[in-house]
Amino acid sequence: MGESYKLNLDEIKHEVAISKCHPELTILVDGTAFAIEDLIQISENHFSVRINGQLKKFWWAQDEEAIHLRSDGRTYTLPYLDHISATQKAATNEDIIKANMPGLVVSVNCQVGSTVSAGDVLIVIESMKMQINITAPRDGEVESVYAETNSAFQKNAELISLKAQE
Amino acid sequence: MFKSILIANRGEIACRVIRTARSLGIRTIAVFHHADRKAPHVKLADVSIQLFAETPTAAYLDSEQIIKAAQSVSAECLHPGYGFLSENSDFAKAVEAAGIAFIGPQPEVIKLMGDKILSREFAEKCGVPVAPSVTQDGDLGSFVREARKIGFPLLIKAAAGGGGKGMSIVHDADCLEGQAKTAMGEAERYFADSRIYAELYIENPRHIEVQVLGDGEGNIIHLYERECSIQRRFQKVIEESPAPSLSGKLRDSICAAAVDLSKKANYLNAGTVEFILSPNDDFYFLEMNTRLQVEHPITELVCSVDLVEAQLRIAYTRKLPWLQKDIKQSGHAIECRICCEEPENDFRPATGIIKVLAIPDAEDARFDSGIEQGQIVSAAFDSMVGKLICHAENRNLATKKITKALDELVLLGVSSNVDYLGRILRNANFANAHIHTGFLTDNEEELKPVELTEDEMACVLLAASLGLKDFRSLSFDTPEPYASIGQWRNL
Repeated sequence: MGESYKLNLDEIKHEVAISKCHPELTILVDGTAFAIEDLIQISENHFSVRINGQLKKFWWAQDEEAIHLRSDGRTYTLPYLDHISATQKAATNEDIIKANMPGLVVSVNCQVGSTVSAGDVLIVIESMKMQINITAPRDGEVESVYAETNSAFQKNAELISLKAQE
Repeated sequence: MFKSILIANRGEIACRVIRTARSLGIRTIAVFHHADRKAPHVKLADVSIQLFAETPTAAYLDSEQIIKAAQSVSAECLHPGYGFLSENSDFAKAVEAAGIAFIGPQPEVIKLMGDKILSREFAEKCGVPVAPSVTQDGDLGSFVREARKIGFPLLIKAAAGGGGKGMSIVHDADCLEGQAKTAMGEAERYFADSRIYAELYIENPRHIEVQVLGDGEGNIIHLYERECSIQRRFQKVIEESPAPSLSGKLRDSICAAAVDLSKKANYLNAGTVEFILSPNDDFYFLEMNTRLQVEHPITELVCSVDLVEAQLRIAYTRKLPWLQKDIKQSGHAIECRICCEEPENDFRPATGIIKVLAIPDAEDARFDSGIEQGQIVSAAFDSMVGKLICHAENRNLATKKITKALDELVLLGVSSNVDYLGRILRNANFANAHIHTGFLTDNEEELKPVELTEDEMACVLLAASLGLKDFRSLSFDTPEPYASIGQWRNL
């Protein structure tokens, strides 16, 4: 047993656990105890709370990917654990270069069989009126080019693939 | 006054125009693409007409459909906003030909100012200073030879360009030909016009522009200057008025140059003459924008005017609503452009659903936006979703006021530049007005977020947890024995 909430902040995993509810609520963050008092829900997404006696106000929301928070003029995104692990897995698979957002292919600067170095601009895309260079994540050889100049693509579309490394 | 107006735009500027039109008792007509069917500008307008096109952008660029929509409801005038068709002279001509008043200058003036090469030549003829330059309209070899004579660094631009497209800085002669070819290719692709020109690149320049109003009969007034030097990717991020640490003499010269140019163009309605100001106070004509600017609110706050109202009055009466002596600069105004993007990721546009939108008190700040809570921010449109504007007695107080307002602005669910803007405003170089168009690049390190202390990090994690309903019920609603024997350890 002993399950607790695991949260990601700036790509570091943290553990938040309720230590005791009485006489006052005590919560452990990575093992350190904090006294929690006077939690008030001001509106659906707006809260105020006293942490170790200090008053904090914060705005809170969540969607399918993360918890979103704004406090003391700073905004935080805490992606869910499973989401993080999914993107991390995708990031280690550098063979297929995918689109992070929908857009339009402006130019294709490589072809099947091209030898490329990490950082080379493989294609240039346009999204939301901005030009973005898509670069090679590693050295390698281009295996397939799915992107065509002037063609539109959706989020997560495969644009280029590199030959798998031995 | 006009009885009805069609707004050929969307987002914050459509909402902005509707607001003034309504206050003047004018019936407002919005147009929209399906993707915008729930957008604020559609809800705000008295009547909304759907446009049909394959992509949302194409809908707002479909001049024929927009003019038909205007005719179908007998709109008396049309406001183009900025972007989309606002600087399309053929559109302005077609609107007038359909018997609808176009809120903007004459089509031939739009055309002249829309061509960077022709407008430069025009400025030169008017005696307005322009930076040394050379135009490429045929032989690349002679262009390269002439460009070398000006010296380096050089700035290459597309003749028909705008918004930073087709622009590049050339630092030495060896790269000139290659970069010129690239720029011509980009210019052809974006503007179907491969002409480019090169001009002397002024290092660490400031961007100063002047708001003008004209009656089309040669009468021009100016509403002073705006400083728009805080830019990323050649796009403005923070603007202010008046421009800090500008001598009265220099301010007068720049404003006079803008008035001269507009007078000679017989300028009608609202326009903006943009200049580059060098560190040794030389200024050069950059371009003239023949429309209302994104950053017009800072002029409105400093000069106590409503520029949209002025535009409508000029279009209706062909008379200027004020004399030059009526226009006084008072206090200082700052505008921050709120964009859905990732500043730490090279300003990559961000998309998603706005889960929470909370705006500062209207008493403290003006928030011009086209967004509301629950709205989808898609890749179909520009990433700018709103503008926060504050006015105070002086620059220091205006900076403090807008910093506080930014802190109070809450936009959750889609990444935005809100925190980044706050860091710019708190930057010492910004406070001391050590600003130029390379400010954001030069101060990149200082503008990164400060690392959280362990206590701050714990507060963030606690807040994130306490927002979760499940966590709250375990913390507060559960009787003690249950909590201690459940899956929660009681340490």
